[in-house]
Amino acid sequence: MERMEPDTFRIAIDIGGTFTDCVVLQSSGRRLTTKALTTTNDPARGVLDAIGIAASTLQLPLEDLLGRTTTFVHGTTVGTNALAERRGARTGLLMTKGHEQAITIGRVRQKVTGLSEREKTHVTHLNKADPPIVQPGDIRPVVERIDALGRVLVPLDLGQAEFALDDLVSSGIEALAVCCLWSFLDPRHEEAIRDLARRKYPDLFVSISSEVAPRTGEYERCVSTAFNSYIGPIVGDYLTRLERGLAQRGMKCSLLVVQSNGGLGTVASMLGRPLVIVDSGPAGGVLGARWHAGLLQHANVLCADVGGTTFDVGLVFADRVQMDPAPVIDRYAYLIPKIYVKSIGAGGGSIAWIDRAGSLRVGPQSAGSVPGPVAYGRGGTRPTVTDALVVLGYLDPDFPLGGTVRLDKPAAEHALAELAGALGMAVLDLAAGILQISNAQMADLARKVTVERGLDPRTFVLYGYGGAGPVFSAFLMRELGATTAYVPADSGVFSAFGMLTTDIVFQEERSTNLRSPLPADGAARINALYAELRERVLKRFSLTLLDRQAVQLARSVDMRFGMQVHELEVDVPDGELTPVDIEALTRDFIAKYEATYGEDSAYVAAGIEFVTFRVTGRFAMTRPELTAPASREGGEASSLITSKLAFFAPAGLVKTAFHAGAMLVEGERVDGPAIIQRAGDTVVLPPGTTAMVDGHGGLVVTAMESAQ
Amino acid sequence: MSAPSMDVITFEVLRHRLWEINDEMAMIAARVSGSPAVYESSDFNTAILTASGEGLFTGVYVIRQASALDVLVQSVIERFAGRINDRDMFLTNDPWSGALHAMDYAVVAPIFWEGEIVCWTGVVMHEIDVGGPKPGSWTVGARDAFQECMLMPPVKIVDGGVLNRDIESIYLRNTRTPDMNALNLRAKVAAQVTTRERIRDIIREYGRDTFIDLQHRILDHVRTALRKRIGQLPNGAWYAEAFLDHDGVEDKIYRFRLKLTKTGDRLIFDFTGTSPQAKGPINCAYSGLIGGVVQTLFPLLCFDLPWAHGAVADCIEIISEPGTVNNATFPAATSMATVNAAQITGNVIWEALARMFSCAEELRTEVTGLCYGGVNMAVLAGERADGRPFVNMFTDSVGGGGGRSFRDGVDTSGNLVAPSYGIPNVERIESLFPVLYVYRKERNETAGAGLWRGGVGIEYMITPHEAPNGIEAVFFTSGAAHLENKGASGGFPGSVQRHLVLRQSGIAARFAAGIIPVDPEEAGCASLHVPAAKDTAHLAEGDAWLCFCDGGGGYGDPLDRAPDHVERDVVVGLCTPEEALRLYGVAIDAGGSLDVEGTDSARAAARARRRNRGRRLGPDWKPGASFAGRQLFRYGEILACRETSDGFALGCLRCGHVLCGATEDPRQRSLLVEEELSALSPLNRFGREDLFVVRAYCCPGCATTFAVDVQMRDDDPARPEMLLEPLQFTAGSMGTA
Repeated sequence: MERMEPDTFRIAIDIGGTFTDCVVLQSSGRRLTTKALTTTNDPARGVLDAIGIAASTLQLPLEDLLGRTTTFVHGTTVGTNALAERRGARTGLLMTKGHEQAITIGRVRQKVTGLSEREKTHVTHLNKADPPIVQPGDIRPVVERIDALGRVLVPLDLGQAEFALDDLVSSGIEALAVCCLWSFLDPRHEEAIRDLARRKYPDLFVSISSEVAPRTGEYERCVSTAFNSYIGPIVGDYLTRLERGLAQRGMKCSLLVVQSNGGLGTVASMLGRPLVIVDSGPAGGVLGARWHAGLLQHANVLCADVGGTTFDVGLVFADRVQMDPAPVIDRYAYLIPKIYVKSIGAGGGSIAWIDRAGSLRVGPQSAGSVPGPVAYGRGGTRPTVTDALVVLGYLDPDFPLGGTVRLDKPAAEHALAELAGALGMAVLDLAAGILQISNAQMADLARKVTVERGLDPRTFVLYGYGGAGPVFSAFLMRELGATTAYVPADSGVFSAFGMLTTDIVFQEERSTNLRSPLPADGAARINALYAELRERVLKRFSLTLLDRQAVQLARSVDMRFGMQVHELEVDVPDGELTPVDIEALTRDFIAKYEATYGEDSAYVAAGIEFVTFRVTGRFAMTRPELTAPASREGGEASSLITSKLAFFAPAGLVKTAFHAGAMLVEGERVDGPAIIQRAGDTVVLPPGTTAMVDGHGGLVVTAMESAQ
Repeated sequence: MSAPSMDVITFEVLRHRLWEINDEMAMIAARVSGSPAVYESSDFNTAILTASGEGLFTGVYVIRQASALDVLVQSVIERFAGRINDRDMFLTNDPWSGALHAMDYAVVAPIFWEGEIVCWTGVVMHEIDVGGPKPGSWTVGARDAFQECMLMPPVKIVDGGVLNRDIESIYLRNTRTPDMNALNLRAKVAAQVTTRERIRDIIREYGRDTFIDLQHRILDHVRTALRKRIGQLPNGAWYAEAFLDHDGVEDKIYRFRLKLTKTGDRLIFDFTGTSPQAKGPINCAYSGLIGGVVQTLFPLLCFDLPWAHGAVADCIEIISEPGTVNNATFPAATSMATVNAAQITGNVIWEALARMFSCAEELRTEVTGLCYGGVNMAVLAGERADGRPFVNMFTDSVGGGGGRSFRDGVDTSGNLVAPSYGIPNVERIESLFPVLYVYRKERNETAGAGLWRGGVGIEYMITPHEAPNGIEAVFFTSGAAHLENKGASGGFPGSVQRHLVLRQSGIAARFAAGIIPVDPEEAGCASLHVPAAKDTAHLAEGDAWLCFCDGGGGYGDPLDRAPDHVERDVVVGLCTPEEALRLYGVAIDAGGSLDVEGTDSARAAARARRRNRGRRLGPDWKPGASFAGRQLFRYGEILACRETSDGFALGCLRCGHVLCGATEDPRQRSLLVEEELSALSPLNRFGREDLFVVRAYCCPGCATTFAVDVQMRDDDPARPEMLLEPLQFTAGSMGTA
């Protein structure tokens, strides 16, 4: 007998460029997904819209749904957008005199940072970040200097700093960033300036580099600090208002926000350090992939998120999410633990065209969602990858895309015919060719992110998600020579779902100037540093009213060889470290270095630097459970809807089975050529591939031979 | 036997894949190397070449390093004929075998398929030291190759997959940085092993014939696009000259002379008249000549195409006399080849191309002034406080970008021919070496003035810090005597660049007084030492080394620059109020704001001054001639070629003055205004004003500049810049532009 206890809910909301996705997990095990249009001007409205749709689908008043919600997780691009669209606070910068142009000079490389090799070839058109996040006129020097050993060479001239601060404030700045050379060794100068600013201008948002990113490298540290101040007021305002709005509508739990490191944090913990949520958008999908990989025991996973305009690749291997050693936003390199994702402009909206030498090209220009592909009938005239998919018969005009857009196949054919005529090709051959080029570009990116790390893409399972991911998964699997692809359930809202699979995580880190062989007090300094970082982490948990006792702590250190640039993170055991323990760390580092960069790659003669020490606290959250139906809804005999002709190169037009995704049951097998139409996406199985429905409602795709 | 013709789809798929493979080879090499020069400053490059050594793809790092790999692979093929086997690799740093200079050690590898070579790969890295008398191997004072570092002609460093330890040990014995060089060698080998497998994957999947066909198709594709691009330009010849100051032994001036002829869809680069090779290390061999040519053609001509040397080579011809400074014969000293003779070779091409490109609307946006045209770096070496030795090349030196036809040059941009170049954090260098950066900043008074100005260069000051025995410095500069970064289309050149040594500086005293100096006057010193362009110096404790780098050349006449842009530059310190008035005729009031009336009168006065001081190089073409008529094309910023009632002519779009007939050089009848170097920037007082002068060529009608040159005082000012081919000018010929 079921207890009549009412359901409780766990909700995840992910704001994307076009849609705000919502996933609701019920304690009874059911799940619901909804989408609302993203409201760029006031994103909170889109959030409430999406929850409102969920409530009405559940036939519950919104207050009841929120009142019975135990976890509310949110991924937002509000900080990222503020940076990308330059809508942040006008930020003043105080920096060590003589070095205040570090952010403007941008280590010279700013003009190419984050660009693809293709973009770099147009050398005469390269520019540094434009407009800059901090206007050159809003930068003032402060008189102080600390050296590489942490010694004060010139004490802080607080009077001069006050004058500079007053000058900036009177010129109209809305936020302040402070960055002093070597402040991660001695933060007192920055702290004195911060205290001064807080005293004189309590409403001014202030960040100091020794708090935001206490790591070595003044340019990236300065950028991080400036970013933090730039987005601070907007992010704080948004999150505070959203949390208040949800509370007013009956929510009793706290609002948890996804950080770019893949952990969750409370709103209170982010108000001073909003940088932790910047570019967290792609994190959800990678987290979801990591969770599935654990369930399915996939050791190496390539995460392939295909949308309308971009293709994102992330990596999970040996149970760990690959982190980004050098994150970039809009030409600015910054320092923050962030999940690695590499993007290129490729997706359903990529436009097919002929270049001046007469070659067929696909992308990187995209028709985006407006006007979109020709088949959407929203005014698009240039043929896209999606149009090719329609012409090939994979996307079915009789099955409305996303439940709303009805595809115009004749229009797509017409657009392709023009291009085909110019190339002297048949329309279907051209459509297959566009798909093939698109697949190849995506596969090239997937190879790049693996091969560059010394990994073999063939040993990875390809996870395809995002609105268009399931179309390409089987093709990409083949292209890469991988044996397996996985298409999760609800792949269109996979990012939102992934956010429900992670924990609350707070990290604190600090760079040092310690190097091996350590000075006599080296071990003591490291122990003191870890104690300090530990306290800082636990304090953040306490501030969020979480039980310190339940927090799991982990320690690590980033190390590198002197004269070398690669840093590697080495795990550090608990407890007081002795010189012998530290010796063991250096051995671990050398072993890990050689495992990563190849035998004999260790450059021991140059000494080993202990670059950044880190403590990570983790407060475990309940994990979701996903199940696939064991029997068909309504007792239907089969999931098969119909058979139609679809074009698969090199075979040509072949009879292809169309299945209703909702009718598939656990353990069922679908052989290609087949199309599986699911609520939010379309899975394409070319001839020679087969898919098996697993216990979580996802599809395991393999080549036909290996399935037998 | 002809290979099966490849369909457009397969071509696009494989073209993309192979291009990516070259990019990845670079990333793998950089990753294994881990050395800051390679990883942080990107002083390296990679290439994929055909079986006969024609370049298919070149990486976006230091272009010239890989563009000369054609020469290198071809010399290996010749030298090892019949002895090149599967899994072999070849090592060399010999400029007469395709390396640029001794520090650029290259490893090239054939890729075999079923017993036959199907293509080659190559990786080059700049090694911090390869021995010789000077740390860093920039051999100031060397008169020939025997006084420099060891040269290794091509040797089989990997024989059938086995590293030859004998050669490796000779190599590593002859360097001050054996561990780093060993790692880099490993990186070059490892990257090419991975790449070999990736290329063999393509052949496994698509077959040997398709892969061979692919390479021809890539070359065809680039060739076709290049020929179309070149074909749209008028036929004619464009001229440029550049100088190289100080040969590493003597303070002599070397001249680079170029006549660029465009005929049909071909370009001919004729260097005849270039100075004989030097008795000093600035020379480059033929490899450097090729590197210098191609390093400029890739970014300016192939900006949206694969950087395929093999295709470019088919569209150009190079004429050069052996025994000249950029085609030096053994045993010339060449350790400074890259940033001297090879770089200046690129500069004359750049200047001539900018003129030629400005004749076509599609290429006008590729026209820029020169940018960091020389070099201004130093190697510092010595011992740390704990006795450990160090040597480091300071890669902070970067100039400003050239002004463009649509926008200012990039401030502190680095070199056009090394797009991915970066400089390290101050904290990084201070943690590794016993130095303190007093400051590092963008330097006003360096940029070339223009309608669109050049970007400013960098300036930094470094003092020994915890270096009890002081530091030995090796300086190498070009563009110290003259203004190397010329402008385009009437823009002015950027400043000179130099190293200065402040003996017994006042830095410590200023620090103690709570003052951070941000220029040499504030720092103070007992005496200011100005090292020669190529020189050495000892930096004692308390001394300071200052380095300032040249800004980019400007684009267009600075008197036409929007006054509010000048005002903005003054506000943020990129332009001084004096520069604003002197170069732009823009008056800034005491409060730092634009004085509109003052600007109007200053600009009028500046034009009047040009008229008064200038002299006509020739009389009017046809007195009272009208410039009305069908326009064939625009030339530069203010000139155009039109079919007028008096015939085909070049004239001024601003004032309608007809300069000359279309087949005459526009300088011949222009208004010439001479300026002293220091009239442009006070920094130019460190240059050789006794030798060089700035010559501005103006429209006699409106006194607007259409060309600005830097010449030796006794050079003939009437040397031409453009002579269009007469045959193309017949009534109704050439499309209207």
